[in-house]
Amino acid sequence: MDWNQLRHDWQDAAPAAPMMAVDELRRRDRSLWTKVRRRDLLETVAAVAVVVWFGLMAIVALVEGAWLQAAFTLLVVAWGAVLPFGLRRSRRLARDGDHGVSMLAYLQAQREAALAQARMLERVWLWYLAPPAIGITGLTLARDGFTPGALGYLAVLVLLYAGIAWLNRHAARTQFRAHADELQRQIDALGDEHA
Amino acid sequence: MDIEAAFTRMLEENRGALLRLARRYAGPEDWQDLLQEMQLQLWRSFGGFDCRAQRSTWLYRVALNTALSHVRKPRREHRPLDEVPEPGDAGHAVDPLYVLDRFLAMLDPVQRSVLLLDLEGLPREEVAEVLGLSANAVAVRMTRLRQMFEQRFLED
Repeated sequence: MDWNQLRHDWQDAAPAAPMMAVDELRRRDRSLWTKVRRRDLLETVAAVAVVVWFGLMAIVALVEGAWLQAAFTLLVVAWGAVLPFGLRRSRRLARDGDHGVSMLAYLQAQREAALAQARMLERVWLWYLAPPAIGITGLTLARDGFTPGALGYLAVLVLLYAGIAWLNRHAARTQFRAHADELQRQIDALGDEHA
Repeated sequence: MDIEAAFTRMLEENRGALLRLARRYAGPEDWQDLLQEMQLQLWRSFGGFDCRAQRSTWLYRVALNTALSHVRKPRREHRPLDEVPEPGDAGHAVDPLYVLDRFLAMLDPVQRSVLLLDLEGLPREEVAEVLGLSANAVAVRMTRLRQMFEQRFLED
């Protein structure tokens, strides 16, 4: 077989398909960024609502001299203030990265991103769930005491948070760590001199 | 030359290569989606191209990395091996390009890229730059892939 002839034939064969005009590419690029900005705005509005609502509760608690309530409420306020930054950080980790690097570097970067994303999801209880859980638990008990209603409410809250934490850990294991393993296999296949 | 004209010219000059790559990393129903993704990634990255690599090297890097991301998406499945003809299958072995296409389909995406870059006529050093390997490593892989192709499909 003449490999050069095969290569020549290969290069001659190309299916017909229109390429996109720059205006269309620009439009799609803008559309994606609009979606990202809209989502960021929505998260920020939700965070501001949390901060304002619990901020007002904290002020009332402080005026009334209910220091314990105020402290737990302020914990929720602080969480609401930093949450949008945490979410944006997680999105940065999940981004596709620079496509203009070599394939090996790209696969390695993708793997690092997948592992970082997995670690973030595994720790979601720490940065996403624990602060509001502690804040709301403390606030409820400080305000209502150990009443059956308060304890029932907190039990539902704990179950809900435990479910969210479990789902995130599950996603970390089955999606992101599995994805990182697959990328490692590709890196090994590419880098192995004897592959 | 403004950036838009330079980009359009680059796309036109590499139209055939991009089409062929998209076809080999996606099925008949979504290769045009992949082609559009490639173009979009190229457009996004075009402003950041710093001339440290040749423009063709950069273009193949962006196109292949986009293709790798595409095949990892859950809906993308590799064509199963039983679609790949065995030597002697009636009507298949007579057309080396057809057989080559089937051979490419059975390779994993990373191996496929080595062969595709060679078929596009890139010199070994440039293939090595696209992949991030040494030229020797590329040569070893190329030799092995060609041997696999010839032994399995053309020496019957």
